[in-house]
Amino acid sequence: MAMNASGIIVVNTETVPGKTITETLGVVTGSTVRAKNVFKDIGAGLKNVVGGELKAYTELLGESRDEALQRMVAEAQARGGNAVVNVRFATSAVTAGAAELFAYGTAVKLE
Amino acid sequence: MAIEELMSIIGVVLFIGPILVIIIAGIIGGKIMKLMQKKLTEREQEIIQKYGKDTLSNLSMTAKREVSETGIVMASLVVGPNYWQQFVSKIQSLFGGTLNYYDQVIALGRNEAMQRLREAADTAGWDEVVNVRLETSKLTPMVSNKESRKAMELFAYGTGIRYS
Repeated sequence: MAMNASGIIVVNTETVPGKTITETLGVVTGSTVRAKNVFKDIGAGLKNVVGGELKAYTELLGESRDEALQRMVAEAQARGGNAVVNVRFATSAVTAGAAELFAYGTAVKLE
Repeated sequence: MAIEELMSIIGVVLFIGPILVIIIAGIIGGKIMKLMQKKLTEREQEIIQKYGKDTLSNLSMTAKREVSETGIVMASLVVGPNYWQQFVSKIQSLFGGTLNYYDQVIALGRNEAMQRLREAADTAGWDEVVNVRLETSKLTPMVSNKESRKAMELFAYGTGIRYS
């Protein structure tokens, strides 16, 4: 995950170490709302009886977060940036069974 | 007579069933948590032995060394307390004070998320992870709007750096 296929550097620090930012291109965002199918949801409900990790949910949120990040990167690329700095993530449960995964950051141009 | 007996048996099962489920869930769930904790400690030791220190830090930049490459690392997991823990916590919350079981589950989940972050950084080949942030969020079930399912997501992310 060091470099995306697009070659864009994504970090959650304010600067990219060893490189200088020449231009900022504004905030870029990416989000997805996803729900798991009912059967897996019921399965997770059964797993909840004994507790521990609910793998179906871990997977769901992991995939969605990757997708949100990809969308953010795509937007940065469309603006002509070659890096996204100060990336932050947010999660919210919009409705029962679905979660919104949201990623945002500042698109920048590195020298 | 036979029908009456049958009804009384069903009555007893309906009464005892939930109690049994809670107790069995408590026993199995306790074992699962212990196992998770044991594995986690082993894996933490492995990473510490490999790098000689904890690779995570939440400073924006650590050592003043030349950095050759950077990139984001993320790790997360969803955990939930078992029925026994939920049951006890519900009673505890009537009186207020600390909910020990929730403490334990969240602490374990968070340590696990951080360990997964270390391992993700290890596989990606980063020497260190800086600017680590931790987040917690609640999940809701699909079937109803009631909060019948207690699950939380623990999420850790940071910037992986490689020294040149």
